[in-house]
Amino acid sequence: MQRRNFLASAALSALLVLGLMTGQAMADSTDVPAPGKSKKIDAIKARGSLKAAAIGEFPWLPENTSGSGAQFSGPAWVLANEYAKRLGVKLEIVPVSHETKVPILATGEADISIAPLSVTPQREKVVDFIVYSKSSLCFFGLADNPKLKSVKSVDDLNSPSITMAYFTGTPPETWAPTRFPKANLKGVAGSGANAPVEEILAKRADVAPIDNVAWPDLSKKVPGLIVFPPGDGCLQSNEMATGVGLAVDKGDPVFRDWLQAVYQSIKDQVTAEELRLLKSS
Amino acid sequence: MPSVVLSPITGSWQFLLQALWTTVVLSALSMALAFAIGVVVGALRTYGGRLLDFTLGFYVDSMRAIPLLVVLVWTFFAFPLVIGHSLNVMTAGVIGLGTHLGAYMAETIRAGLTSVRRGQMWAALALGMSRVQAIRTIILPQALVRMLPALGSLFVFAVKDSAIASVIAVPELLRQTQVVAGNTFRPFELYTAAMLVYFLLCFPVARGVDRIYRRLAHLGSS
Repeated sequence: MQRRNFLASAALSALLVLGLMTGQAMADSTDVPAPGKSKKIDAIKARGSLKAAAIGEFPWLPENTSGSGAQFSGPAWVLANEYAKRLGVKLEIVPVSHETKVPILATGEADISIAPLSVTPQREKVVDFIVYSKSSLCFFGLADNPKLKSVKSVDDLNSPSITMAYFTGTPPETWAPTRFPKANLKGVAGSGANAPVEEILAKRADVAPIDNVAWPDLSKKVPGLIVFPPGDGCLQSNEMATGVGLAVDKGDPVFRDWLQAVYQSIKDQVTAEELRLLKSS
Repeated sequence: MPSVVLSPITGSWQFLLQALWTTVVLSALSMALAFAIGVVVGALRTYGGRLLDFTLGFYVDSMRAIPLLVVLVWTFFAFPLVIGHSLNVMTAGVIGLGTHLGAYMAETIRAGLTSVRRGQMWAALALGMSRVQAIRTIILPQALVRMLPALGSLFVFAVKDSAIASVIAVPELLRQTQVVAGNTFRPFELYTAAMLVYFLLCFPVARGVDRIYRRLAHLGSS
């Protein structure tokens, strides 16, 4: 009996110790790495600010254009503020364009790029990602465009008669030529919108890609558009399905792992913020 | 003609006003830098001898040969690697715009300085003035009046060219207009408003400088 009691207490103690150790390990991973472990973190702390490259994009980082209140909202904003808070520094926003949101990390002008970035093989060669969301593409055009009357599926867009516009510096630039080799593809300068709506409205292009989660907002604000895959199929689209995240320059795994660990610790909060924005749009 | 909705502008007027302020500051700072460069380069090319004229002429010709967009992108991305120090978008914008405009300013100032008859410089030197004194007190005041119309045009260029800085994401008027247009999907109203604001900013400057010149023109005659 005594022996059984002893074994039970020993097992319980072992479990307790294991639990404590696991808890300790989890706590450790979100603790700011000690000085000397990460050059980037040391530089941020010495500077007193976390420089985050940003360009607004719904629903991950919409910019507040009211002129008062926080500059951005969205999951990327929640994460950036959490990182700055844990590092004990202020968050400094570095405005970027679609063309500069990735290369800026190599210049050292930004520590992280919170501009929402689709994970692509090309980008993975130069930056590390902290993935917090996912996205896929839909394609929209003017509903009264005669060229789109016969289009029934995304595959039908792969035609020489179709002109597709996308922002330069965004993933469709490298993806579209492989998916739509026959279509007439056209890169245009980024305008700060989710998609080159102006190209469609000005009839310079027949269709343009848009993130599936951003389509409901666009369709509400701009009447007279049609989307492929049609109807609710857009929200379930698998075209160029990728993760969406923030990026850091390669070369500092300690910094990257810490960012990842902090994200994991507030994952629910980050997801809730994205859902809040999607519901309110 | 699309239907006009003003709510994207009225709902973001503070945001756009901040952007307008950034445009004014960016234009003023780049103009100030251009003026400083222009005075030094223009004066040295005029009075500094053949070697300086040739060397600084290379700067002027390069800036006139390279598109402003390229200068801005290079200043933002490559220049920090050269100096080993990062630049924020505003600083890069001022340096890029200022050095580009500085070349045109230098030529304007050189033209102004050479338009003052050489005899005045000789007279000043004969009276015991140094070259710098002569330029500062005799030549430059007359030349500045003669340069006024061209300087006015350059200031208008500075304001208009500041819009190109949107490519490196300086939060100036065009850039922030793009952001609001992107959020609201109302490009017609927003870009039309931006165009009007640029006109309202530049038109009085051009007219004002002309008016000032008409009043002061007699001071530049010799």
